[in-house]
Amino acid sequence: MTTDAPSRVSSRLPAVVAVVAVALALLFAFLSPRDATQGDLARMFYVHVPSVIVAYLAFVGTMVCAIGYLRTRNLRWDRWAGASAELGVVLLGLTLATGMIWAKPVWGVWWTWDARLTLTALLFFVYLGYLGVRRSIADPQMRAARSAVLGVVAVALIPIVHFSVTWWRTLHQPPTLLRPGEIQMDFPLVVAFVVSLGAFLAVSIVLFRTRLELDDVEAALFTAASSGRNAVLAGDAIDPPPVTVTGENRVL
Amino acid sequence: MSDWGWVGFGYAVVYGSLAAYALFLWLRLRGARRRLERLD
Repeated sequence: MTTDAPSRVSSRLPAVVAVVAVALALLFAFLSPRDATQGDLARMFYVHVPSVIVAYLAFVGTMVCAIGYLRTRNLRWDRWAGASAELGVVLLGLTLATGMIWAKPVWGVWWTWDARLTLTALLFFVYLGYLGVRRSIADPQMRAARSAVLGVVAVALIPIVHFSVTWWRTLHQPPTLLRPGEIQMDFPLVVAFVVSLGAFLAVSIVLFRTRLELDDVEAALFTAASSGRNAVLAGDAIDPPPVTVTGENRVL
Repeated sequence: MSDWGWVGFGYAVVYGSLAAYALFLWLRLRGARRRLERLD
C-alpha cells in the first residue's frame, strides 16, 4: 500500500518554514533593543525595508522573465513574469502603507510629496498599470509581448527610486544598509533585520509558488473547457422550457 | 496613540495583508481545482 504522504509533506514544507520564519521575525523584532533616537517606532524598519527589498527583487524577476519570453516566446516565462509582478505590487503597497504609518507619528503627516515617496508611488502605479495591461489583452501572445516590453522598461525606475535620497534633498532618510561604506546600524538591530528579511523571502516564495500553481490550474481549466469535448457554455445550467406544438403556432 | 500602538498597527497591516493575499490565492486555487475535476 502506498500513500501520497511524502509528497504532501514536501509540498507543505515551504509554508511551514514561512510560518516559523514569521514567528521568529516577530520575536526578534519585538525583543531587539530600542533605537537611540526613534525609540520603539524604529521597529517599523523591520517590515518597511524587507518589503521594499523583496518587491525590488520581484520586479527584477519580472524583467528577467520578460527577457526570457522575448527570447523564446514561451508563455511559461510570461506567467512567471506576471506572478512576480503581482507579488511585487503587493509588497510595494505594504512598503507605502508602513511608510505612512511610520511617518504620521514621526513627521506629523501621513504623506508628503518628497522625491523618494513620490517616486515610490510612481513605481507602484507603473506596476499596477503592468497588471492592468495583462488583464486588458485577451490574446496570450500579444499580452505576453506587450507586458514583457513594459516589464523590461519599468525596472529602470528602481535605481532612480533608490538613489533619489542621495541625488535630491529629501525628507526621507538616506539608505541605512544598501550604501557604500559602513552599515549605520548596531549588530543586534542588523540581526533582527536579517531575520525579518528571511521571513519576507520565505513568505514571498510560498506566495509566488501558489500564484504559479494557480496559473497552471487555470490554464489547464481553460484548455479543458475550450477543447469542445467537455465544453461548458454559459446557459448550460438553464433548462429550456418545453415546447408544445399546437395548430395555431405550427409553421407550415 | 503610543509608539507601540503605531508599531502594532503597522505589523497588523503587513502580516494581515500577506495572510489575506495568501488566503485569496488559496481559495482561487481550490475553486479552480474543483472546476477542473468536474470537467474531467
